[in-house]
Amino acid sequence: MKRSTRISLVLLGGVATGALTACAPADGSSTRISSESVYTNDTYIPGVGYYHAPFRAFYPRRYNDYDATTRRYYFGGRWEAAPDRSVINISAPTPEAARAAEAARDARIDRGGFGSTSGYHSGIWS
Amino acid sequence: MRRHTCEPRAGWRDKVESTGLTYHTHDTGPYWDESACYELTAAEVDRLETAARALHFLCIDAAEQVIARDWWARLGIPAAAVPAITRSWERDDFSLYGRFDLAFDGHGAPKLLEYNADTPTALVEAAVTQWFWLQDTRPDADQFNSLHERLIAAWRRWGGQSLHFASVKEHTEDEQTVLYLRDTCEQAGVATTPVYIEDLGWDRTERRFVDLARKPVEQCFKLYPWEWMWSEAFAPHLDADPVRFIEPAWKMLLGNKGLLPVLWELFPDHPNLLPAYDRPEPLGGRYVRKPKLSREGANITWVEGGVALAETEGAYGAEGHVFQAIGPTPEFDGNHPVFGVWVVDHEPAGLGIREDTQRITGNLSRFIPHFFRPS
Repeated sequence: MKRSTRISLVLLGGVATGALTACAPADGSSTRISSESVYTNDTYIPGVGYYHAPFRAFYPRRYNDYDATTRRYYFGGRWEAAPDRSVINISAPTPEAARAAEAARDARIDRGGFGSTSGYHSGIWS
Repeated sequence: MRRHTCEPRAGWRDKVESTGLTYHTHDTGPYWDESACYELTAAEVDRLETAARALHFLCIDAAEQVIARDWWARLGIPAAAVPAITRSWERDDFSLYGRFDLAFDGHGAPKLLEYNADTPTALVEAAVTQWFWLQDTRPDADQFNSLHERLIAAWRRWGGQSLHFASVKEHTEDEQTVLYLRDTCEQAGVATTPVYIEDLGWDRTERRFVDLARKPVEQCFKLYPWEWMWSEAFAPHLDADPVRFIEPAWKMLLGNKGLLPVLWELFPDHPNLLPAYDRPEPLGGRYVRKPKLSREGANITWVEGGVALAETEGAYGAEGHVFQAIGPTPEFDGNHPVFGVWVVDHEPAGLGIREDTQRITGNLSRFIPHFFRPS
């Protein structure tokens, strides 16, 4: 006997045809940033930056990051002589900040770098 | 070996579509054709199986020689791809499958026409559709087809936890092939994520490939030829091996027709090989000319008496050609079958027969189911 004894399909077949759809987010780094999600201070998202909860937006440096040269603290996109003393350490980004963060993430991703040859050849592979 | 004329099953279109074969009909006629079937003997199946096993390891030995002797130019492989191929070879990156196309008349030894080692298709019909056809028409007969179990077993041996599956957009056969492979992968307990090859992104900050959800792509089955990837805009990003692809880069060596003369040079007179050379003269006036990177029977020229009797169109050939002796060409009622023997995880796993009234099997050739009677 050389043939399969049983074939069961979980994706293929009538019900599964066309199941090749867009990917679902699977972890925090790939989840879409929205004003309905909350983040704690210094949550880092690659390509976007660190979240500053009192200011409900992402910035390039950590919340209250200290520069020893200038002796200033960074928060909310500016440097000040004293650290921020807000009690807010978790919040949701503003809609504008969420949109800007999404745009920043997209801006660092190039797409379409594979697949150009497939349009040149009409047939499939082999 | 016999070719039978059959009455197609009532509602055969619905039946084959329910197995995933939604591309059963070309614009010019049927692709899945159950108005005929092939009956083989158990001994013939054994010969095909033995030939595929031997050829697979001959090809691996030949690939090792290509690497050792720097024969990259003989295969038309771009210099940029060489380090990645060598690294994947040294790591022994996992290879899932491939399909030998063999010339076989039932009498002599099966002869290698080519090895579709990188992006073989015609899998759904070989693994699933013809199996259900057999259940419906000859449930007491056997079939050279353990593809389904072997694919699941191969994924288990691979051992990963998650895998992206990439194919081109708007190509039904590719999408169904990848969907079936995802199916077997999921059944092996691996979480799968689809992504179109056109949608793969390169994250410049993190220096990694990502899918549409920006999820890192670290392990990826791709139904897309390596030689195309190396000619496209993202090729420079492949240098650092940011993704372990299946099939791996080393399969570029096995899927390349430039390997045919190398095989003949290394293993002259092997019973499963046809004489093949980098030039036509040793073959006299009777040979087949093949581009090194041709797919789907494109740009093949059939020469007899020094005259081109048949020629197929296509966009290949700039990479150079090889010249191969003409193999045994059985004919049944004007049809010429080619025997596609599948290899899964380095072991023969099944058979799909395609036939054509033309001598050159192309992408419009018909798939004919088969069976055999155990001896």
